[in-house]
Amino acid sequence: MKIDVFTLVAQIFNFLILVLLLNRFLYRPIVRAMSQREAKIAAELEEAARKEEEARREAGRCHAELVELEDSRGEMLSRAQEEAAQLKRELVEDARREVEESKARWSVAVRKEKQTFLDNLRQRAGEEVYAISRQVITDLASVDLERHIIDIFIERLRGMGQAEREEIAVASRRARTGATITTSFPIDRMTRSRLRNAVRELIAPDIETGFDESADLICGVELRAGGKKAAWSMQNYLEILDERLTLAFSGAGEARPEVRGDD
Amino acid sequence: MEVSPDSTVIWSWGFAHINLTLLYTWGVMALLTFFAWLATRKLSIGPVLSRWQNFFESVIVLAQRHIRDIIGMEPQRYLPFLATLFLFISLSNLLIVVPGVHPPTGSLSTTAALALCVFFAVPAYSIAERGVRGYLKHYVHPSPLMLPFHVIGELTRTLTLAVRLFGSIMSEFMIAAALLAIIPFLLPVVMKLFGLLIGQIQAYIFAVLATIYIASAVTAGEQARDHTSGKEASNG
Repeated sequence: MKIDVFTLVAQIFNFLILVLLLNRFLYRPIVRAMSQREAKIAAELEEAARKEEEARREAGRCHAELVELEDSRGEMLSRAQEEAAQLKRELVEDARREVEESKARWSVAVRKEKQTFLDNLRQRAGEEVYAISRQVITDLASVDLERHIIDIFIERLRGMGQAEREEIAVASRRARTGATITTSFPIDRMTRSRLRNAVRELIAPDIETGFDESADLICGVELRAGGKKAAWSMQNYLEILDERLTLAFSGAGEARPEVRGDD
Repeated sequence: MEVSPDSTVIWSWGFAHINLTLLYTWGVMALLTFFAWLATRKLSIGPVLSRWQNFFESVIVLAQRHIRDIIGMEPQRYLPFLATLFLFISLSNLLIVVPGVHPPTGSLSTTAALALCVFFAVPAYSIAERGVRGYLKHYVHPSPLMLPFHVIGELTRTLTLAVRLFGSIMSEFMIAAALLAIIPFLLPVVMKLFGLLIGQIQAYIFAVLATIYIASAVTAGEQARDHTSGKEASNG
Protein backbone atom coordinates (compact mmCIF):
# COMPACT_ATOMS: atom_id res chain seq x y z
CA MET A 1 0.00 0.00 0.00
CA LYS A 2 2.00 2.85 -1.29
CA ILE A 3 1.31 5.98 -3.21
CA ASP A 4 2.66 6.18 -6.73
CA VAL A 5 3.60 9.81 -7.23
CA PHE A 6 3.24 9.78 -11.00
CA THR A 7 -0.18 8.16 -10.72
CA LEU A 8 -1.13 10.64 -8.01
CA VAL A 9 -0.24 13.64 -10.16
CA ALA A 10 -1.82 12.07 -13.23
CA GLN A 11 -5.00 11.37 -11.29
CA ILE A 12 -5.14 14.97 -10.12
CA PHE A 13 -4.92 16.11 -13.73
CA ASN A 14 -7.37 13.44 -14.82
CA PHE A 15 -9.81 14.62 -12.21
CA LEU A 16 -9.44 18.24 -13.20
CA ILE A 17 -9.91 17.32 -16.85
CA LEU A 18 -12.99 15.34 -15.91
CA VAL A 19 -14.34 18.34 -14.01
CA LEU A 20 -13.83 20.49 -17.09
CA LEU A 21 -15.33 17.89 -19.43
CA LEU A 22 -18.40 17.32 -17.29
CA ASN A 23 -18.80 21.02 -16.73
CA ARG A 24 -18.69 21.53 -20.48
CA PHE A 25 -20.83 18.57 -21.53
CA LEU A 26 -23.06 17.95 -18.53
CA TYR A 27 -23.54 20.55 -15.83
CA ARG A 28 -23.73 23.69 -17.91
CA PRO A 29 -26.19 22.32 -20.52
CA ILE A 30 -28.31 20.57 -17.90
CA VAL A 31 -28.39 23.56 -15.56
CA ARG A 32 -29.17 25.83 -18.51
CA ALA A 33 -32.00 23.50 -19.60
CA MET A 34 -33.36 23.41 -16.05
CA SER A 35 -33.16 27.19 -15.82
CA GLN A 36 -34.96 27.53 -19.14
CA ARG A 37 -37.57 25.07 -17.98
CA GLU A 38 -37.99 26.94 -14.73
CA ALA A 39 -38.27 30.19 -16.66
CA LYS A 40 -40.79 28.59 -18.98
CA ILE A 41 -42.77 27.20 -16.06
CA ALA A 42 -42.55 30.56 -14.33
CA ALA A 43 -43.74 32.25 -17.50
CA GLU A 44 -46.53 29.73 -17.83
CA LEU A 45 -47.44 30.19 -14.17
CA GLU A 46 -47.40 33.93 -14.67
CA GLU A 47 -49.53 33.53 -17.77
CA ALA A 48 -51.84 31.19 -15.86
CA ALA A 49 -52.02 33.70 -13.02
CA ARG A 50 -52.74 36.47 -15.50
CA LYS A 51 -55.41 34.34 -17.15
CA GLU A 52 -56.80 33.40 -13.75
CA GLU A 53 -56.93 37.08 -12.83
CA GLU A 54 -58.54 37.78 -16.18
CA ALA A 55 -60.99 34.92 -15.64
CA ARG A 56 -61.71 36.25 -12.15
CA ARG A 57 -62.36 39.71 -13.58
CA GLU A 58 -64.49 38.17 -16.31
CA ALA A 59 -66.35 36.11 -13.71
CA GLY A 60 -66.91 39.28 -11.69
CA ARG A 61 -68.17 41.08 -14.76
CA CYS A 62 -70.42 38.13 -15.63
CA HIS A 63 -71.67 38.07 -12.04
CA ALA A 64 -72.44 41.77 -12.19
CA GLU A 65 -74.20 41.26 -15.51
CA LEU A 66 -76.07 38.35 -14.01
CA VAL A 67 -77.18 40.46 -11.07
CA GLU A 68 -78.18 43.24 -13.45
CA LEU A 69 -79.99 40.71 -15.59
CA GLU A 70 -81.77 39.37 -12.51
CA ASP A 71 -82.82 42.90 -11.60
CA SER A 72 -83.92 43.71 -15.11
CA ARG A 73 -85.65 40.34 -15.30
CA GLY A 74 -87.81 41.26 -12.33
CA GLU A 75 -88.50 44.63 -13.89
CA MET A 76 -89.24 43.06 -17.27
CA LEU A 77 -91.42 40.47 -15.58
CA SER A 78 -93.47 43.11 -13.78
CA ARG A 79 -93.69 45.14 -17.01
CA ALA A 80 -94.75 42.04 -18.93
CA GLN A 81 -97.32 41.25 -16.24
CA GLU A 82 -98.61 44.80 -16.46
CA GLU A 83 -98.74 44.60 -20.24
CA ALA A 84 -100.44 41.22 -20.05
CA ALA A 85 -103.01 42.62 -17.61
CA GLN A 86 -103.54 45.61 -19.90
CA LEU A 87 -103.89 43.29 -22.89
CA LYS A 88 -106.30 41.13 -20.91
CA ARG A 89 -108.38 44.18 -20.04
CA GLU A 90 -108.39 45.27 -23.67
CA LEU A 91 -109.29 41.80 -24.86
CA VAL A 92 -112.06 41.51 -22.28
CA GLU A 93 -113.26 44.97 -23.28
CA ASP A 94 -113.16 43.99 -26.96
CA ALA A 95 -114.96 40.75 -26.21
CA ARG A 96 -117.56 42.63 -24.18
CA ARG A 97 -117.98 45.15 -26.95
CA GLU A 98 -118.24 42.40 -29.50
CA VAL A 99 -120.80 40.62 -27.35
CA GLU A 100 -122.72 43.87 -26.97
CA GLU A 101 -122.62 44.41 -30.73
CA SER A 102 -123.63 40.81 -31.37
CA LYS A 103 -126.37 41.17 -28.81
CA ALA A 104 -127.54 44.39 -30.44
CA ARG A 105 -127.40 42.80 -33.89
CA TRP A 106 -129.17 39.75 -32.54
CA SER A 107 -131.72 41.93 -30.81
CA VAL A 108 -132.37 43.82 -34.03
CA ALA A 109 -132.61 40.54 -35.94
CA VAL A 110 -134.96 39.13 -33.31
CA ARG A 111 -137.02 42.30 -33.42
CA LYS A 112 -137.12 42.13 -37.20
CA GLU A 113 -137.96 38.49 -37.13
CA LYS A 114 -140.68 39.18 -34.57
CA GLN A 115 -141.99 41.98 -36.73
CA THR A 116 -141.92 39.75 -39.77
CA PHE A 117 -143.61 36.99 -37.79
CA LEU A 118 -146.25 39.38 -36.52
CA ASP A 119 -146.72 40.79 -39.99
CA ASN A 120 -147.12 37.31 -41.37
CA LEU A 121 -149.40 36.39 -38.50
CA ARG A 122 -151.45 39.51 -38.96
CA GLN A 123 -151.73 38.96 -42.67
CA ARG A 124 -152.45 35.32 -42.25
CA ALA A 125 -154.99 35.94 -39.49
CA GLY A 126 -156.64 38.62 -41.58
CA GLU A 127 -156.75 36.34 -44.54
CA GLU A 128 -158.11 33.50 -42.46
CA VAL A 129 -160.75 35.68 -40.77
CA TYR A 130 -161.58 37.15 -44.10
CA ALA A 131 -161.86 33.72 -45.74
CA ILE A 132 -163.90 32.33 -42.85
CA SER A 133 -166.21 35.35 -42.83
CA ARG A 134 -166.57 35.13 -46.54
CA GLN A 135 -167.28 31.46 -46.33
CA VAL A 136 -169.83 32.05 -43.57
CA ILE A 137 -171.57 34.82 -45.52
CA THR A 138 -171.53 32.74 -48.67
CA ASP A 139 -172.93 29.78 -46.74
CA LEU A 140 -175.61 31.99 -45.22
CA ALA A 141 -176.60 33.48 -48.58
CA SER A 142 -180.20 32.85 -49.50
CA VAL A 143 -182.91 34.35 -51.67
CA ASP A 144 -184.06 36.57 -48.86
CA LEU A 145 -180.58 37.74 -48.21
CA GLU A 146 -179.95 38.40 -51.89
CA ARG A 147 -183.20 40.33 -52.16
CA HIS A 148 -182.25 42.23 -49.08
CA ILE A 149 -178.81 43.00 -50.60
CA ILE A 150 -180.55 44.26 -53.75
CA ASP A 151 -182.76 46.43 -51.60
CA ILE A 152 -179.79 47.87 -49.75
CA PHE A 153 -178.05 48.56 -53.06
CA ILE A 154 -181.13 50.38 -54.39
CA GLU A 155 -181.35 52.31 -51.15
CA ARG A 156 -177.73 53.24 -51.57
CA LEU A 157 -178.31 54.49 -55.07
CA ARG A 158 -181.18 56.42 -53.69
CA GLY A 159 -178.95 57.92 -51.02
CA MET A 160 -176.29 59.08 -53.53
CA GLY A 161 -175.86 62.80 -54.16
CA GLN A 162 -176.96 64.48 -57.42
CA ALA A 163 -173.40 65.16 -58.53
CA GLU A 164 -172.40 61.57 -58.03
CA ARG A 165 -175.40 60.41 -60.04
CA GLU A 166 -174.47 62.83 -62.81
CA GLU A 167 -170.91 61.55 -62.93
CA ILE A 168 -172.08 57.96 -63.33
CA ALA A 169 -174.59 59.00 -65.99
CA VAL A 170 -171.99 60.88 -67.98
CA ALA A 171 -169.55 57.99 -67.68
CA SER A 172 -172.15 55.50 -68.88
CA ARG A 173 -173.02 57.62 -71.89
CA ARG A 174 -169.35 57.84 -72.82
CA ALA A 175 -168.78 54.11 -72.47
CA ARG A 176 -169.99 52.12 -75.44
CA THR A 177 -171.30 49.36 -73.25
CA GLY A 178 -173.17 51.67 -70.93
CA ALA A 179 -173.34 50.69 -67.29
CA THR A 180 -172.75 47.15 -65.97
CA ILE A 181 -174.41 45.76 -62.88
CA THR A 182 -172.30 42.99 -61.33
CA THR A 183 -173.63 40.72 -58.60
CA SER A 184 -171.96 38.05 -56.54
CA PHE A 185 -174.91 35.74 -56.99
CA PRO A 186 -177.18 34.90 -59.94
CA ILE A 187 -180.28 37.03 -60.24
CA ASP A 188 -183.52 36.25 -62.03
CA ARG A 189 -185.16 38.31 -64.71
CA MET A 190 -187.52 40.09 -62.40
CA THR A 191 -184.72 41.21 -60.19
CA ARG A 192 -182.75 42.34 -63.22
CA SER A 193 -185.78 44.37 -64.40
CA ARG A 194 -186.15 45.86 -60.93
CA LEU A 195 -182.44 46.86 -60.86
CA ARG A 196 -182.60 48.29 -64.40
CA ASN A 197 -185.67 50.35 -63.51
CA ALA A 198 -184.10 51.60 -60.33
CA VAL A 199 -180.94 52.69 -62.23
CA ARG A 200 -183.00 54.44 -64.89
CA GLU A 201 -185.11 56.08 -62.25
CA LEU A 202 -182.30 57.16 -59.98
CA ILE A 203 -179.31 57.75 -62.36
CA ALA A 204 -180.56 58.52 -65.85
CA PRO A 205 -183.61 57.37 -67.81
CA ASP A 206 -181.61 56.65 -70.98
CA ILE A 207 -178.89 54.56 -69.41
CA GLU A 208 -178.22 51.15 -70.91
CA THR A 209 -177.49 48.45 -68.37
CA GLY A 210 -175.89 45.07 -68.73
CA PHE A 211 -175.51 42.33 -66.08
CA ASP A 212 -172.60 40.30 -64.98
CA GLU A 213 -171.76 37.85 -62.14
CA SER A 214 -168.47 37.76 -60.20
CA ALA A 215 -167.38 35.71 -57.24
CA ASP A 216 -164.90 38.46 -56.28
CA LEU A 217 -167.72 40.48 -54.92
CA ILE A 218 -168.70 39.20 -51.54
CA CYS A 219 -172.36 39.28 -51.04
CA GLY A 220 -172.70 42.47 -52.96
CA VAL A 221 -173.91 44.45 -56.00
CA GLU A 222 -171.85 46.88 -58.03
CA LEU A 223 -172.76 49.43 -60.70
CA ARG A 224 -169.83 50.34 -62.88
CA ALA A 225 -169.84 52.86 -65.74
CA GLY A 226 -166.56 53.92 -67.33
CA GLY A 227 -164.27 54.76 -64.44
CA LYS A 228 -167.09 55.40 -61.98
CA LYS A 229 -168.91 52.94 -59.75
CA ALA A 230 -171.45 52.58 -57.02
CA ALA A 231 -171.51 49.40 -55.00
CA TRP A 232 -172.36 47.67 -51.79
CA SER A 233 -170.82 44.41 -50.62
CA MET A 234 -169.45 42.66 -47.56
CA GLN A 235 -165.97 43.49 -48.95
CA ASN A 236 -165.96 46.86 -47.22
CA TYR A 237 -166.78 45.35 -43.85
CA LEU A 238 -164.15 42.68 -44.24
CA GLU A 239 -161.53 45.30 -45.12
CA ILE A 240 -162.44 47.20 -41.96
CA LEU A 241 -162.08 43.95 -40.04
CA ASP A 242 -158.67 43.42 -41.58
CA GLU A 243 -157.58 46.93 -40.56
CA ARG A 244 -158.72 46.43 -36.99
CA LEU A 245 -157.00 43.09 -36.72
CA THR A 246 -153.80 44.69 -37.96
CA LEU A 247 -154.14 47.42 -35.40
CA ALA A 248 -154.81 44.91 -32.66
CA PHE A 249 -151.69 42.82 -33.51
CA SER A 250 -149.54 45.88 -33.78
CA GLY A 251 -150.61 46.99 -30.34
CA ALA A 252 -149.97 43.50 -28.97
CA GLY A 253 -146.50 43.38 -30.59
CA GLU A 254 -145.52 46.76 -29.14
CA ALA A 255 -146.93 45.91 -25.74
CA ARG A 256 -144.79 42.72 -25.42
CA PRO A 257 -141.51 43.02 -23.57
CA GLU A 258 -138.24 43.00 -25.55
CA VAL A 259 -136.33 39.79 -25.76
CA ARG A 260 -133.02 40.26 -23.97
CA GLY A 261 -129.90 38.16 -24.50
CA ASP A 262 -128.01 36.69 -21.53
CA ASP A 263 -124.98 38.74 -20.50
CA MET B 1 -1.53 -10.37 -2.17
CA GLU B 2 -1.09 -7.33 -4.33
CA VAL B 3 -4.47 -5.74 -5.01
CA SER B 4 -3.62 -2.19 -5.96
CA PRO B 5 -3.99 -1.59 -9.70
CA ASP B 6 -1.05 0.81 -9.48
CA SER B 7 1.33 -2.08 -9.52
CA THR B 8 0.13 -3.41 -12.87
CA VAL B 9 2.10 -1.28 -15.34
CA ILE B 10 1.03 -1.54 -18.93
CA TRP B 11 3.45 0.87 -20.49
CA SER B 12 6.36 2.84 -19.12
CA TRP B 13 8.80 5.36 -20.36
CA GLY B 14 11.29 6.49 -17.83
CA PHE B 15 9.45 8.04 -14.89
CA ALA B 16 6.21 8.08 -16.78
CA HIS B 17 4.14 4.96 -16.97
CA ILE B 18 0.60 3.85 -17.57
CA ASN B 19 -0.86 1.44 -15.05
CA LEU B 20 -4.31 -0.10 -14.57
CA THR B 21 -5.41 2.73 -12.28
CA LEU B 22 -4.89 5.29 -15.02
CA LEU B 23 -6.40 3.02 -17.61
CA TYR B 24 -9.56 2.44 -15.63
CA THR B 25 -9.69 6.10 -14.69
CA TRP B 26 -9.68 7.02 -18.36
CA GLY B 27 -12.34 4.39 -18.90
CA VAL B 28 -14.48 5.94 -16.18
CA MET B 29 -13.85 9.43 -17.63
CA ALA B 30 -14.78 8.21 -21.12
CA LEU B 31 -17.94 6.59 -19.80
CA LEU B 32 -18.98 9.65 -17.85
CA THR B 33 -18.31 11.93 -20.81
CA PHE B 34 -20.22 9.57 -23.08
CA PHE B 35 -23.20 9.47 -20.72
CA ALA B 36 -23.04 13.24 -20.44
CA TRP B 37 -23.08 13.51 -24.20
CA LEU B 38 -26.01 11.07 -24.36
CA ALA B 39 -27.91 13.09 -21.81
CA THR B 40 -27.28 16.48 -23.35
CA ARG B 41 -27.32 15.80 -27.08
CA LYS B 42 -31.10 16.26 -27.22
CA LEU B 43 -31.91 18.42 -24.26
CA SER B 44 -35.54 19.03 -23.59
CA ILE B 45 -36.96 21.96 -21.67
CA GLY B 46 -40.44 20.51 -21.88
CA PRO B 47 -42.08 18.11 -19.47
CA VAL B 48 -40.91 14.99 -21.36
CA LEU B 49 -37.25 14.10 -20.73
CA SER B 50 -34.92 11.42 -22.00
CA ARG B 51 -33.86 8.74 -19.52
CA TRP B 52 -30.29 10.00 -19.25
CA GLN B 53 -31.32 13.64 -18.93
CA ASN B 54 -33.77 12.67 -16.25
CA PHE B 55 -31.11 10.77 -14.33
CA PHE B 56 -28.49 13.51 -14.52
CA GLU B 57 -31.02 16.20 -13.70
CA SER B 58 -31.97 14.23 -10.60
CA VAL B 59 -28.30 13.91 -9.59
CA ILE B 60 -27.65 17.60 -10.22
CA VAL B 61 -30.78 18.74 -8.38
CA LEU B 62 -29.84 16.49 -5.45
CA ALA B 63 -26.28 17.85 -5.46
CA GLN B 64 -27.53 21.44 -5.65
CA ARG B 65 -29.88 20.85 -2.73
CA HIS B 66 -27.13 19.35 -0.59
CA ILE B 67 -24.73 22.16 -1.44
CA ARG B 68 -27.38 24.75 -0.68
CA ASP B 69 -28.27 23.03 2.59
CA ILE B 70 -24.68 22.60 3.76
CA ILE B 71 -22.93 25.70 2.45
CA GLY B 72 -25.99 27.92 2.44
CA MET B 73 -25.01 29.62 -0.79
CA GLU B 74 -25.86 29.38 -4.45
CA PRO B 75 -24.54 25.98 -5.56
CA GLN B 76 -23.47 26.93 -9.06
CA ARG B 77 -19.84 27.62 -8.22
CA TYR B 78 -19.35 24.40 -6.23
CA LEU B 79 -21.43 22.08 -8.35
CA PRO B 80 -18.87 20.98 -11.00
CA PHE B 81 -16.23 20.03 -8.47
CA LEU B 82 -18.43 18.31 -5.90
CA ALA B 83 -20.77 16.57 -8.38
CA THR B 84 -17.78 15.32 -10.37
CA LEU B 85 -16.28 13.92 -7.19
CA PHE B 86 -19.48 12.03 -6.49
CA LEU B 87 -20.01 10.83 -10.07
CA PHE B 88 -16.40 9.72 -10.51
CA ILE B 89 -16.23 7.86 -7.22
CA SER B 90 -19.71 6.41 -7.68
CA LEU B 91 -19.04 5.06 -11.18
CA SER B 92 -15.59 3.81 -10.14
CA ASN B 93 -17.11 1.96 -7.21
CA LEU B 94 -19.80 0.52 -9.49
CA LEU B 95 -17.03 -1.14 -11.51
CA ILE B 96 -16.41 -3.42 -8.56
CA VAL B 97 -19.15 -5.69 -9.90
CA VAL B 98 -17.50 -6.04 -13.29
CA PRO B 99 -15.30 -9.12 -13.22
CA GLY B 100 -11.62 -8.42 -13.77
CA VAL B 101 -11.96 -4.68 -13.40
CA HIS B 102 -10.14 -2.90 -10.62
CA PRO B 103 -11.94 0.24 -9.53
CA PRO B 104 -9.55 3.19 -9.64
CA THR B 105 -10.78 4.20 -6.20
CA GLY B 106 -9.13 1.01 -4.93
CA SER B 107 -5.82 2.75 -5.48
CA LEU B 108 -4.45 4.92 -2.69
CA SER B 109 -2.90 7.14 -5.37
CA THR B 110 -6.35 7.90 -6.76
CA THR B 111 -7.99 8.54 -3.42
CA ALA B 112 -5.00 10.60 -2.32
CA ALA B 113 -5.26 12.58 -5.56
CA LEU B 114 -8.94 13.22 -4.90
CA ALA B 115 -8.22 14.16 -1.29
CA LEU B 116 -5.50 16.54 -2.46
CA CYS B 117 -7.97 18.07 -4.86
CA VAL B 118 -10.30 18.67 -1.93
CA PHE B 119 -7.35 19.89 0.11
CA PHE B 120 -6.61 22.58 -2.46
CA ALA B 121 -10.21 23.25 -3.34
CA VAL B 122 -11.11 24.22 0.23
CA PRO B 123 -8.76 27.24 0.38
CA ALA B 124 -9.38 28.01 -3.30
CA TYR B 125 -13.13 28.35 -2.76
CA SER B 126 -12.63 30.17 0.50
CA ILE B 127 -10.26 32.67 -1.13
CA ALA B 128 -12.59 33.05 -4.09
CA GLU B 129 -15.44 33.76 -1.70
CA ARG B 130 -13.74 35.82 1.01
CA GLY B 131 -10.33 36.80 -0.31
CA VAL B 132 -6.88 35.72 0.97
CA ARG B 133 -7.14 37.67 4.20
CA GLY B 134 -10.52 36.32 4.95
CA TYR B 135 -9.27 32.81 4.37
CA LEU B 136 -6.14 33.19 6.46
CA LYS B 137 -8.09 34.80 9.29
CA HIS B 138 -10.00 31.65 10.00
CA TYR B 139 -6.76 29.93 11.02
CA VAL B 140 -6.43 32.31 13.94
CA HIS B 141 -10.07 32.31 14.81
CA PRO B 142 -11.10 32.63 17.56
CA SER B 143 -7.53 32.84 18.86
CA PRO B 144 -4.06 32.59 17.29
CA LEU B 145 -3.49 29.65 19.63
CA MET B 146 -5.80 27.67 17.39
CA LEU B 147 -3.48 27.99 14.38
CA PRO B 148 -1.65 24.66 14.83
CA PHE B 149 -4.90 22.86 15.44
CA HIS B 150 -6.38 24.31 12.27
CA VAL B 151 -3.32 23.26 10.26
CA ILE B 152 -3.36 19.77 11.73
CA GLY B 153 -7.06 19.57 11.08
CA GLU B 154 -6.59 20.50 7.43
CA LEU B 155 -3.95 17.85 6.94
CA THR B 156 -5.65 15.10 8.85
CA ARG B 157 -8.96 15.51 7.17
CA THR B 158 -7.27 15.22 3.81
CA LEU B 159 -5.55 12.09 5.00
CA THR B 160 -8.76 10.64 6.37
CA LEU B 161 -10.57 11.38 3.15
CA ALA B 162 -7.98 9.52 1.16
CA VAL B 163 -7.57 6.60 3.47
CA ARG B 164 -11.27 6.15 4.21
CA LEU B 165 -12.22 5.77 0.61
CA PHE B 166 -9.20 3.70 -0.26
CA GLY B 167 -9.65 1.45 2.75
CA SER B 168 -13.28 0.94 2.09
CA ILE B 169 -12.95 0.01 -1.56
CA MET B 170 -9.75 -1.83 -1.07
CA SER B 171 -11.19 -3.89 1.77
CA GLU B 172 -14.28 -4.71 -0.26
CA PHE B 173 -12.13 -5.82 -3.13
CA MET B 174 -9.88 -7.89 -0.90
CA ILE B 175 -12.77 -9.49 0.96
CA ALA B 176 -14.47 -10.35 -2.31
CA ALA B 177 -11.26 -11.84 -3.68
CA ALA B 178 -10.60 -13.79 -0.51
CA LEU B 179 -14.13 -15.14 -0.33
CA LEU B 180 -13.98 -16.05 -3.96
CA ALA B 181 -10.97 -18.20 -3.19
CA ILE B 182 -12.52 -19.84 -0.11
CA ILE B 183 -16.21 -20.09 -0.96
CA PRO B 184 -16.60 -19.79 -4.71
CA PHE B 185 -20.40 -19.63 -4.82
CA LEU B 186 -23.13 -17.31 -3.62
CA LEU B 187 -21.33 -15.56 -0.78
CA PRO B 188 -19.00 -13.57 -3.04
CA VAL B 189 -22.05 -12.38 -4.95
CA VAL B 190 -23.66 -11.18 -1.74
CA MET B 191 -20.41 -9.57 -0.72
CA LYS B 192 -20.16 -7.88 -4.10
CA LEU B 193 -23.63 -6.46 -3.69
CA PHE B 194 -22.74 -5.34 -0.22
CA GLY B 195 -19.57 -3.77 -1.60
CA LEU B 196 -21.65 -2.03 -4.23
CA LEU B 197 -23.79 -0.45 -1.56
CA ILE B 198 -20.73 0.50 0.51
CA GLY B 199 -19.11 2.01 -2.57
CA GLN B 200 -22.11 4.24 -3.25
CA ILE B 201 -22.27 5.26 0.38
CA GLN B 202 -18.56 6.08 0.31
CA ALA B 203 -19.02 8.17 -2.82
CA TYR B 204 -21.80 10.06 -1.08
CA ILE B 205 -19.74 10.44 2.12
CA PHE B 206 -16.70 11.66 0.22
CA ALA B 207 -18.70 14.25 -1.68
CA VAL B 208 -20.61 15.39 1.43
CA LEU B 209 -17.42 15.63 3.50
CA ALA B 210 -15.75 17.66 0.74
CA THR B 211 -18.82 19.94 0.76
CA ILE B 212 -18.65 20.28 4.52
CA TYR B 213 -14.95 21.12 4.43
CA ILE B 214 -15.51 23.76 1.81
CA ALA B 215 -18.50 25.06 3.72
CA SER B 216 -16.56 25.24 6.95
CA ALA B 217 -13.78 27.17 5.24
CA VAL B 218 -16.19 29.54 3.51
CA THR B 219 -18.49 30.11 6.48
CA ALA B 220 -15.55 30.23 8.94
CA GLY B 221 -14.17 33.10 6.91
CA GLU B 222 -17.55 34.72 7.03
CA GLN B 223 -17.87 34.17 10.78
CA ALA B 224 -14.40 35.57 11.32
CA ARG B 225 -15.28 38.66 9.35
CA ASP B 226 -18.58 39.03 11.19
CA HIS B 227 -16.81 38.58 14.46
CA THR B 228 -14.19 41.20 13.57
CA SER B 229 -16.78 43.65 12.32
CA GLY B 230 -18.82 43.03 15.49
CA LYS B 231 -15.78 43.74 17.60
CA GLU B 232 -15.04 46.91 15.71
CA ALA B 233 -18.63 47.97 16.10
CA SER B 234 -18.58 47.38 19.86
CA ASN B 235 -15.28 49.25 20.16
CA GLY B 236 -16.61 52.06 18.09
